[in-house]
Amino acid sequence: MSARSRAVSSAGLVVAWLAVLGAALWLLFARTTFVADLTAFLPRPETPGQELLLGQLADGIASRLLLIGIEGDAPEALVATSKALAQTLRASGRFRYVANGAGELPRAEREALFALRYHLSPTVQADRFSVAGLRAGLEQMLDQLASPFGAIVRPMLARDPTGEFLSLLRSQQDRVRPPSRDGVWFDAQHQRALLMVESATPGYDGKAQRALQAFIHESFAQQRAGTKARLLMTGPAVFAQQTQDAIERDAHRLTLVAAALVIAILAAAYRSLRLPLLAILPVFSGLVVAIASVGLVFGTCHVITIGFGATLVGEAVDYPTFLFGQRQAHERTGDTARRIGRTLALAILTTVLGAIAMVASSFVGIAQLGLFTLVGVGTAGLVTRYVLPVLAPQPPLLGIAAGDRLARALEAGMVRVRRLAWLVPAALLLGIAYLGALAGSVWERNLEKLSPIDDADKRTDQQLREALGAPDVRYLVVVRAAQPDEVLAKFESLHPRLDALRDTGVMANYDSPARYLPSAALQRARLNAIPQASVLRTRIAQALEGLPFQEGLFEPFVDEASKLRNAPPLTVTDLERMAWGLGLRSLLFESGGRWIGLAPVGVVREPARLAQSVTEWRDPQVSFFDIKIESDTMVSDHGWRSLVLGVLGLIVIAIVLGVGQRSWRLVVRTLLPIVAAIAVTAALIVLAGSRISFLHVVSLVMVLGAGVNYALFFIDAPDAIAQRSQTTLAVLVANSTTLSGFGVLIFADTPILHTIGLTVVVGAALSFLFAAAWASRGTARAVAS
Amino acid sequence: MLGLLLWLAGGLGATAMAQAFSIDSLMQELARGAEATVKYRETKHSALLKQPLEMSGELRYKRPSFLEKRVITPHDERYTIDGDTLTVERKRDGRAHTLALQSQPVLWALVEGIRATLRGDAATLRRFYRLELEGDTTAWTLHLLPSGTDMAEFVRAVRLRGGNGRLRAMEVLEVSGDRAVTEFSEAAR
Repeated sequence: MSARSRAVSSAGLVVAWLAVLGAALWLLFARTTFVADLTAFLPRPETPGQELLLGQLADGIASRLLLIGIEGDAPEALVATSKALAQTLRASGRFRYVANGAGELPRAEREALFALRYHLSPTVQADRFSVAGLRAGLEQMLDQLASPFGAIVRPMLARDPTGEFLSLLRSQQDRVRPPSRDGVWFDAQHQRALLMVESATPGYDGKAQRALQAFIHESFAQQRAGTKARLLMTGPAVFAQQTQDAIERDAHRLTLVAAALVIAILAAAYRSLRLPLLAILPVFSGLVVAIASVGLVFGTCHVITIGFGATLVGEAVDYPTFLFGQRQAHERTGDTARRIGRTLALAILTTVLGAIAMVASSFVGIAQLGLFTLVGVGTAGLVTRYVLPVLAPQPPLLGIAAGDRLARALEAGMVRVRRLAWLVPAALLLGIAYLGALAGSVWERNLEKLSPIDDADKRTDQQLREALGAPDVRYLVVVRAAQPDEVLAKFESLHPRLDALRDTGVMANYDSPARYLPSAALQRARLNAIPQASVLRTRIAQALEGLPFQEGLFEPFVDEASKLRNAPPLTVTDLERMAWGLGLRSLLFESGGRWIGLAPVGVVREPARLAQSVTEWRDPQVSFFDIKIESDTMVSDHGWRSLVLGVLGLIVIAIVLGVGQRSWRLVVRTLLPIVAAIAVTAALIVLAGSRISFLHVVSLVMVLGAGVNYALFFIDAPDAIAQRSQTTLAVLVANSTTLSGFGVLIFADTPILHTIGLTVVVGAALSFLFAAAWASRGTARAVAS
Repeated sequence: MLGLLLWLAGGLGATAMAQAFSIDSLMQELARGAEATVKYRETKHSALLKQPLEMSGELRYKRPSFLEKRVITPHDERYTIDGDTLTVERKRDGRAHTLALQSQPVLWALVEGIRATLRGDAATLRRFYRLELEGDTTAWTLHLLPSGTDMAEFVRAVRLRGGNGRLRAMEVLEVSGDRAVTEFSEAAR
């Protein structure tokens, strides 16, 4: 190839690179939708219980629920603020439901519920409308009228002489309710006013949730005027926002520090500022193209993919160092690229092809990460190999010369490290033996541990939840059917059995969707029990004999009740805008075309007996779940699966190396120190009292990618001492940039980033030492002999 | 003996402060009152009824916040309030149930209307009502006008009548026009 045609093709490469980068940027800004739905990063559910759990995490009622506490002032001020805030939130129409107290049952809700009393009251039965039944009802209402509750009962007496509305309210009385003060919910110490709010938008809609939370804060700021009250707000959607904010804060702050450190190291190594800036180009191109391709292939790009993906692509920061660092004084960068071409290609291909195992994963989050790594690292590699030589044909040299002090110090250090080569296989064996002995127990089982929420917020959430009587649900009796009404009817048939279990002390209580909405059949039976107007009028006249009620007083009752005789039964949608419907919606919902009903069981004393009883009912529509067990198995399965992916990736890397190095002994020499570093890092994590989670696995995959590169370049180092020292220095510089870039993450407030930072730093440092000790061994011997 | 002393004290107080009879002085006077069990007779007038309902029983008060209303006729019922706990026992239901008084805003306001008055606790009364006082220390009427919306939806006013350090009658005027008049008579035991 002539120099001229080479120049033309170089220009062509740069143009092609700019075109791809431009297209990717356009895709990224104009076409890529970013999502933050956590469930994409949980494994695909394998049991009905896991499916249920994931469905609830994604858009269960819990994900729409915000718990609010107002504290920091005298109770009277808190009462006023709570009332005013509830008023503003209700009026905004942005919430399905706003509850702030027992006395609150707002007039609209009370009237709506009153109108539905004959559908919903458990005491509506045929004998209720016999002369004797009416008489009993009337006598009771007379007592109520004479009692201290008289003033409250009076307005509805003429329309509801049998007290169905009161029965309806009473059927909910066994539910835990917070104490209240002036009709406003408070915690037990009367320090905090409590509110519970259900947003109209789904919990996973991050943008809408953010706006909603801002609206609550603004409304509070207006309503608190002049008081010292503070607002506390928790709930899954709040935590999601906080996490995102914290990560963004950390990312902004730490990325700057990390970039400054990396640039400083490179600038010091090359005594140039232009070079570090050029060194950023490959990884930047890699990230942009990776995000755009994930968006293109999957339709959306997950925010977490970008976060973890950036970690995995972080390896690519080293590529320019390997290239520029090994340029000899007489070489153009293009010549260096060709000289180290095979090793550089192996370094890139091991990571790119290692990621294929991830792409094939059945679970979307991992598949996205795989593609991200594959494309990101691949792009960075191509840019390093083909674009950088054009942009910087003769950059400054990594300043080192044979016999100078730095070269001698490096060589002496390497000799010393090499003496410890025997430590590498020993460390590998020890690490694997230690992890193997602990076997399954090294995997993180507790979903909570992966949660990025800090402990203080968790505590506040726990306090609000307990105070509001909305404790976390653990045990569930679940009914699945094609239609909501089937689910309700099934629960009605289960009530007597559940009552029996409750009465024998297996559990203290249970809730059921059928308590909020009876099945259509039961509603119809109730409504049909109401006699025709004329019959009802005669019977009530008979029942009134001897009672002091005015003549004709109950005409409104006769009129309203008899009209309902042929009314259609209520459905789920009829209760949509009522507080009453909150209970129903949280316990009855559609999922994947089927309807699922939940009966949360409280204070279970004998879980095994409860589980066994449900099994003995032998009803394919009914099952029992312990959410804790389901989530724990899911999370630990997750760990196993990531191990399988890791091993698959390792096998692919070994094959790529085998093809490239054409010697199995070389493959072992390359991989052994890095696998040893990973095993020791994993063992250290467990020794330090943690368990291995998905976060560690992602970090260790990054370590594998970077570590294999160290080993490759050590093995490939030229024989001449001066040149070898230069390779050593290049690897050292690459390692220092990784250590400082990720080291900064250790100082992150976000636990996720902290974990990634710490794991990568330990793993990368060990990889460097082990690779120096083991992989560079042969070269040393060759020189010595 | 104690009654005599109280009567004397009350009488002396009345002469000394005849000019300055106010809500505060009434409250101070009531605050000195004894814990007591009194009989009561209640008459409920309602437009829903052909004739008024007659009830009777005993009312017991112990400082600072125990109040018990025991209905003897027409049915045996007992409402016991201790602090924030309300226990309702009805002979006919057979079972007692307990609820938090503060979860029943209307009832709570009514209870404090008597309980805070017997304790001479103007501050608590003012949390629920606007207060107006008529008369003098020997015969006064204290008007309690609900300030909270919860109660104002049902009750227009509570009127307390008394004299010489004692509460003699209570009248509850409902928004519906119904009213309940309760007369207290001397100690039962």
